[in-house]
Amino acid sequence: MMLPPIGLLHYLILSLCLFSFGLLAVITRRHAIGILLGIELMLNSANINLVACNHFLNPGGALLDGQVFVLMVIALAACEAAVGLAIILRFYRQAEAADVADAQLLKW
Amino acid sequence: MPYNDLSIFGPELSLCGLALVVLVADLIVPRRWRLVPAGLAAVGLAVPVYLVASRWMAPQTFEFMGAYVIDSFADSLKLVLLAAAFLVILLSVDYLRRLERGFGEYFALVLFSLTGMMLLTGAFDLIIIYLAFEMISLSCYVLTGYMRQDRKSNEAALKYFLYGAAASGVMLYGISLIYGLGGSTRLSEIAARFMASGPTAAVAVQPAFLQSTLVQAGIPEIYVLRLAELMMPLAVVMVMVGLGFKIAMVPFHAWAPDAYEGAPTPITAFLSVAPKAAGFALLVRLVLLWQPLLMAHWPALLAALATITMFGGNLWAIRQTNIKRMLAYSSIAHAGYLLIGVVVAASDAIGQHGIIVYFAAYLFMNIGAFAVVLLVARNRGSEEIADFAGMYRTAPVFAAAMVIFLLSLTGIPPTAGFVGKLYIFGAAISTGKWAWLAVVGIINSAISLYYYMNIVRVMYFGEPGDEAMTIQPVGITIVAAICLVGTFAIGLFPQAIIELIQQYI
Repeated sequence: MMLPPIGLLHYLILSLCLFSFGLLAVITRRHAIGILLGIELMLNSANINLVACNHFLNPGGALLDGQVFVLMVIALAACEAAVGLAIILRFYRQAEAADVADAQLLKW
Repeated sequence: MPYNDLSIFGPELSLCGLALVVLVADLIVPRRWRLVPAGLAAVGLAVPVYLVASRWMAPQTFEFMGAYVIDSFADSLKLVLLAAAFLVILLSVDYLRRLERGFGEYFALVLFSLTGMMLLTGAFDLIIIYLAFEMISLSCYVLTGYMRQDRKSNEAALKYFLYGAAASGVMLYGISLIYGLGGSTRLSEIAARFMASGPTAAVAVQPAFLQSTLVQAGIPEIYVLRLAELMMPLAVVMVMVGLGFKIAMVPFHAWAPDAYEGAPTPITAFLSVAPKAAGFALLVRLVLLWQPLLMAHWPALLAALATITMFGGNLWAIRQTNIKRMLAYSSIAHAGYLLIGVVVAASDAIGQHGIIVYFAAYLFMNIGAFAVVLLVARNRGSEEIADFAGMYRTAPVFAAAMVIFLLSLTGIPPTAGFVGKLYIFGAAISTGKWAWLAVVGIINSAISLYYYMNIVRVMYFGEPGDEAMTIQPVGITIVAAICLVGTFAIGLFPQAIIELIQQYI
């Protein structure tokens, strides 16, 4: 059986899977670091979309909007992780746990 | 190449520069002169204000190959943002007295997030939208957790960050889909491409070969078309998640009460006005530009969101005992009123005018209310509504000012809040189709009267628990005075501001 060549669709399905896993992690994880990892997965699934769309929409590579966008997202994801880890660390020092179930001071 | 005119970026560039100057000044100046960074930040805001005001009547201009736009709508919201930042800086000076260090960074972060907000009001490109979004969010997360010894502040920052990062992740995925479907990052080009592909519009030209792959794989063409039609609305809904988070719209509001309660109070005041103004600017732009090519039900969806946002905010606000938390829910409700303006803006420019008038009013009345909250917290050490008891005797002038702000938030004449609500509800009624939204808004204003007046009741009929509130910091007094004047000025002379807006926008 001949498999069709790898095209945009395959990349989109891959990114959709990654995004779903990320979202699932954000929803189900109770540990703040776990949630942060899920968020990183979501960002990277979007990156796959951007790169793949850029490649297949401009076969000659005339426009690089998507690729440039990905560089920006990577830089921002690093900033977000830095800020996020600092906030989580601060919370951990005081609550002595980084479990979101411990964040109970502010309710309703 | 139209790269020659950087002046269009003048306000944003000067703000960025100002933030850096504040950072450096904090390093050079001895620690006991802590007023210097704050003073620099407050006075320096005059530069961007001047730059925005000096191009006030300029026609709509695109720059950076269509990636950035200035028009009167964006510029007037920029003035609101700058005013909010100025008032918040004044409020912060006294609040930060407890800080050992990090005095300058605080103001630099306020200015950086302000830069992001100003960029967002003029963003016309997906990349700029995402960058501005993150610039606002990252600064605001840090500011929310700025009181590092305070557990509440840390917890608020954690919740704000986790919600915010997840929302921006969903939004980025939506943006990447829009890029794939539209084939460009420019909002206008995406719109043009969808227009070119026919009146049914939702089928983009671009995924043609996505379709061919699917057809090759043996999936009937009709399903492929359906799928392609669904993708754009889906992507836009994902972007709406991010935007809804920013403006604290009801299914995405869960972070707001927690972040507002735990954040340093001046930052709460900032969060309740500024990011909302930036978010609404982008929302209006997207609705105007893309409305013809999304679903026909798009305004109806927004109307439904406005309704649940108003009811949700107001009903939750009733049971609060902490004033910051109550004002958080009240600010959610105000986002609902503003969403009515967005619904109207989809068909009529009067909706845009309404949003600007409402923000001008909301700026003064809400920050004014927070100024009084700060005064009470400074004297009583906590922010419970019970702390306001008998305030008419312990701080009569501030109690009277609070009554005015609360009346204005309810929307009672002759205050600014009345003018804002009148304009937005009037705009809704004038469209005919959305008149029912105005009715919902009026019902909600009646609900809000209950919890706003509860504070008045506590202030005037509660037993004064302690001695007089003798600590009345200068910054708080000035802000309360400015806000009082602003609330009355818009309330008593609405014609002036309305004419100004109608003439130029």
